[in-house]
Amino acid sequence: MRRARVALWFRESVAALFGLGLAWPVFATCAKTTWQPIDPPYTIEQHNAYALTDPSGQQTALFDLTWGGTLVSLKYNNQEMMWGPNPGGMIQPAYFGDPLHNISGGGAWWYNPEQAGGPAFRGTPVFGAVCSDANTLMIIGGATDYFGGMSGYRVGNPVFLYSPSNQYHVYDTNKHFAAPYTITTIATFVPNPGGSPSYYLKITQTILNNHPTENFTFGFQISGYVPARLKFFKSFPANCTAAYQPGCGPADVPNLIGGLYSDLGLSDGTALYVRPRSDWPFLGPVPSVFILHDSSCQPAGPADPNCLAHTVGPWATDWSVPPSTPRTMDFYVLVGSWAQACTFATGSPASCS
Amino acid sequence: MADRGVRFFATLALFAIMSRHAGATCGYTTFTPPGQGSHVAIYLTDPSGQQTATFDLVWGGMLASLKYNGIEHVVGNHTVTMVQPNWFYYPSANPYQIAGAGDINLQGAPVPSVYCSASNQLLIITGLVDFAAGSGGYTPLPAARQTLLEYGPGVGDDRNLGDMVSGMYAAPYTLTTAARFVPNPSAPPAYYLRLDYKITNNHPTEQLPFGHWFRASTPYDHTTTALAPSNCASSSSCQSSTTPYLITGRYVDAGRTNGIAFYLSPQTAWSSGTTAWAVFGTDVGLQTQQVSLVNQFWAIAPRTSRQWALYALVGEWSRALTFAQAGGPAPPDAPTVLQATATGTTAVQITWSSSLGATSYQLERSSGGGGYVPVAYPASPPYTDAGLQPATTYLYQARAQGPGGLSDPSSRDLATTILFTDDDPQHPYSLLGKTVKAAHITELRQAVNAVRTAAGLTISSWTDPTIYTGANGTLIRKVHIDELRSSLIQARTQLGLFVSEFIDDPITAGVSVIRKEHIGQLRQGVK
Repeated sequence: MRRARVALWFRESVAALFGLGLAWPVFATCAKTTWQPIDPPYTIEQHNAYALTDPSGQQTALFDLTWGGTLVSLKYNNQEMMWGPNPGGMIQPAYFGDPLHNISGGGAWWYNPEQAGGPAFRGTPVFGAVCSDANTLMIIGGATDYFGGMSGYRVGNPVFLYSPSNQYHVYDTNKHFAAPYTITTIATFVPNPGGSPSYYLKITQTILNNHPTENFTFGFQISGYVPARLKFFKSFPANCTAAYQPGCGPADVPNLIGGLYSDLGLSDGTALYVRPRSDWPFLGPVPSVFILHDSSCQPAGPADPNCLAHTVGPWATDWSVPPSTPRTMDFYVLVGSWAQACTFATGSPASCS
Repeated sequence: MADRGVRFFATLALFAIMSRHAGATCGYTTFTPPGQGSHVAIYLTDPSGQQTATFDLVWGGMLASLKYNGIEHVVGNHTVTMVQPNWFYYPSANPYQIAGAGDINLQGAPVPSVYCSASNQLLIITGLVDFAAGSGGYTPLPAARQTLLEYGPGVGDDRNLGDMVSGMYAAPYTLTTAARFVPNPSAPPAYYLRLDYKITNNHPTEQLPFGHWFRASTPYDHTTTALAPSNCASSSSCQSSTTPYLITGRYVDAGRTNGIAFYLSPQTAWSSGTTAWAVFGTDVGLQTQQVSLVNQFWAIAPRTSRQWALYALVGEWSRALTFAQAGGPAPPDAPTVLQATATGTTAVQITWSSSLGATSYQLERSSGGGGYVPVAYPASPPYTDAGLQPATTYLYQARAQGPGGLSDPSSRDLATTILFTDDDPQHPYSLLGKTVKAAHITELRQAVNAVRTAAGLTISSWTDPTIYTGANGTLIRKVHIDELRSSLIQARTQLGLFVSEFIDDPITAGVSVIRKEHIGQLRQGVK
């Protein structure tokens, strides 16, 4: 315990020095590692991953290379602040709702490209990853139709290397379908002027459409899953919590942030923050942005006694990615208190009460 | 999605990988390069059955074989052979060369996506790699971009450790290859292979002075060369911007009647390059005669794409040259997906995806087991087909029109002009807040038999031909749903439409409850 306290003191001191303009402190690290999924049936696997630790040593972000290079874990002072045990969770971009490829009209099966993959071990292939420096990680990977071609629209099967036999397979040709997008992820920790935590995780993603003609009317979300203990919701702007709300077009909303917290005082939680006005220009006729939150327990529903996760994240209607037209956006994962997160996002503590 | 955890994920019960247009076939196969193990591959056979193109999915999905009447015209025995685009750090191939197939150590470029995407067409997406495997000392980005080939199932002894390929380095580019056979107006052969490529730079900053090198390896006995324009044999002879076609070939005989040529249009494909030329070579070790189309200064800016077309022309040089000089007219790609939905008892709305190079579309309809006939031209989506017969199933397909003519047909879809009880247009097929009732079964029987008629099948007879309502009405039973499902599956299969697996299949007597989801799924099948 004493050793831990000394280490914490040292880390905070170095962080303070960094705040005075010194070079990267020694605690910023970026390195290859492995990660053990914690949720059945994936516990039989061990995944390659990259770990990015902030310069203060307070937070470590894990990016799973078996599941599309997606953010799968974010620990703050050793406490898990997100829920990422399978490709349907995590914090990741996802497309949905193209009416032409939605055979059930809002029901269970639609064309649903996302970063991590599909269920039942259908991870998205990753092409390459590099630690550009101690505080910058870049990953390039593909995308997967979460619903495995059930909409009837299918772009392609991934080809995988099967390690034991050293053979390649077109795995699961009836269920595992890629989406023709590449997602480039650049992750870095940026200083939090508020000071606690010392840094926030910033993720810059570029989505490129590799298909010659695919041009769908997508909705878009940063799908955010957090542990079940985080259940008290707060957002800004407060009224942008459903689609098509007045004053919630992207041009109206420079900053959109929402989070879930363990306490009514909103001191401990995870928030997601995006900048719709600058990063989410829309191509559709009725643009709308909002923070969706769902405090019913995941994955098995409100009645599940083993409640694992709640969801929170920014959504947008009509966020198409035409061929050869990149979409680049930043999103931030802000752990700690709502007051600090909201002030970081809006620059105005008065907005955050 | 927020409700991700409670999603129901069903499986496809019946799905044919094969996609057909006339005699054209496309499907998975294996390919064994000499001295190598068996590679998973995908093939495409032209509608006449004369040519088969095979793409090696272990080596980046590159064209590894092209057989014409059983005679091989491509050598695919190494990552340096086959037919593949490369980009090199001009003027030297070192320190960094982007390769389509794989690296110098025979480690293949990853293929995140491959599929028979439409009739007579396949689509492959490749993650490109550094052919020099990082040995060139490329410094703008440290050589830490290891290529990762991750395996998902996690079964047996596989634990996904060690899947990161040692000593292999990714390039931050993806290549999309769309392959199809297009008609040759001066047959034979009846078709030529067209390869539409699109390269995308996924990197936020990398922009290098690439040259573009399109390399093809032909059999060792293809010793006779051909080139047009004939002066495009050196790096300074032909300007890309003023060269409408560049075609070069390799032939078995001096008369150049039996061989293969490769053609592209520098004027359109390489417009930003400076010069274009052809290079011939011989590789004794790999027993291949090579031919390359080369271009200078073909930069790919960050987060942008470039696309172009290449043709592989088997047979006689004179016919290939005629095709190239004519500009290689080809119809546009077929719309990849079409969806038809009845909007009333006499109208159907049809939407379809756009096609590259299309100037307009032709909508075609079939009913009563007959062939497809045009119903609208030019048409644009969404299109409403009005004046139809009630309680009738109609099938639709669309073709794209371009300078080269009409495309192959799109995927097909059906619509049945029945409006279902309790259907909510905002949530079709969901029957939100409703319970299963007699009318649902009765309407579905009528619709399923309409689909069977469209498929040329006899109509089905049903247990409890009349479903009675009221206090002493007919109990809706397992057999009612089973009969509808089997009748519908038979009809959709006959029509070549995909069939998804049903919820609660099989329905278990005494266990399964007949639910609104069962009705909704059947409605989706007849629409």
